[in-house]
Amino acid sequence: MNRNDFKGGPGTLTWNGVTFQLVDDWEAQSEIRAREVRTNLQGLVGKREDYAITRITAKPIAFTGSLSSLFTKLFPYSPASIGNLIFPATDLPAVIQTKDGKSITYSAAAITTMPPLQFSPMRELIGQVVLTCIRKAGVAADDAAAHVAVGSSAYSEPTADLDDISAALYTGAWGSTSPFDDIETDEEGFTFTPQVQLSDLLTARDGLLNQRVQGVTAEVRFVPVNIDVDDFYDDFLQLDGSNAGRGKLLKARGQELTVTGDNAGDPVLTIPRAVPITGPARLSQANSRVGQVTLEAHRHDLAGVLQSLFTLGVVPA
Amino acid sequence: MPKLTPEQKEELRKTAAAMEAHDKAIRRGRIAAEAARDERAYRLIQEAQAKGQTLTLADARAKAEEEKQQETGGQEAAQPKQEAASPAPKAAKAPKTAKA
Repeated sequence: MNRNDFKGGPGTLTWNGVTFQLVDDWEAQSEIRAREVRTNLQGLVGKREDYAITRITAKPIAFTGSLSSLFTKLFPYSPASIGNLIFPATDLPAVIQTKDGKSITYSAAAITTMPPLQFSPMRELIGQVVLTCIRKAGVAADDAAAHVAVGSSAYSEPTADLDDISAALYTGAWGSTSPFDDIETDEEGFTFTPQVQLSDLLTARDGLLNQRVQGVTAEVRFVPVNIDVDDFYDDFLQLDGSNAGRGKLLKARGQELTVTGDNAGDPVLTIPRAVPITGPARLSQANSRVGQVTLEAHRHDLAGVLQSLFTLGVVPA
Repeated sequence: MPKLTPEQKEELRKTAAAMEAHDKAIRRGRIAAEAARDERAYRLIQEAQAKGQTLTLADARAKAEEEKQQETGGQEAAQPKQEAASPAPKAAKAPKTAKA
């Protein structure tokens, strides 16, 4: 082999009108889903194709200047999306441009895992997003470009503003009562994890054609370092007291959680009803009294109107 | 090398800050232009795909640039036309005055 024949290198991802620059190595993992063909005499004699999917897993760089747009694209699902189909009538292709001059176009892509967000100046804000790619709408699998098409495509370096990579300092507040109105965390900050539950929609002729949103949930984890054990039990977890007891809605224990960056353009996470569900009291030589707590986002109603499960935005100018 | 006075130091600092702000503005402008171009290029890729064709990102970007230039050129061409059109009524009015 010629020593110049090693193939590889990085690239960018364009999807839904936005070009993402990525933090580190990423990949598009393809899989042929198959069913076993068996006979009584011979056992497994082969496999029959069911359908093909590709999963693109990548960690986008959070440029402060485009955070609003990134949030809109990367977090498309909320409880209001339940019942919606995630692959629209007009396909949204995922286009990878490699540095060595290839354009790889996956015909139809949709976000199937929204990325976690880590609100800490020492961590990357946006975690791994997963885009699932299936066959082009209205095209049979035997079409040469039904799933993916590769062509030569000149690479041009996207402009990057290193000063603009989000690394904000954050203030966390759970309700408005001290000490929870100004929570200090360990250096991992606040980790927000939204999840979407999807159901596959298959037909006998085409296999996987779409997916439907079944549910959306979200939770936040952090290690509060300025909360003592009495506040933790009495006002945070509330293992007992007026809000505790079998059959009571957990939302009564909840408060609005906001994680807000210090400067204009920085991210803001709001969970109207964040309910603590787990957390340890630690007896440690080195660690804070309260360990990592988990808060679930619960629905909250104002005058009978259900509020958003969570909202993501930026600090206004 | 002569020692700088505090005023000269302050002047240098201001110049450096102005240059940095200028660089930043250029960079932001370039990023915004790239984002707009890619949004347009993506639409072209979708349109090509709907027609059963495949457009590479580089080709889509080139077409998007072309489209934008045509639009900008079209707008620029339309501008002088309007300006040229505006004196015409005045000229048309002239014979009326002459008649009177």
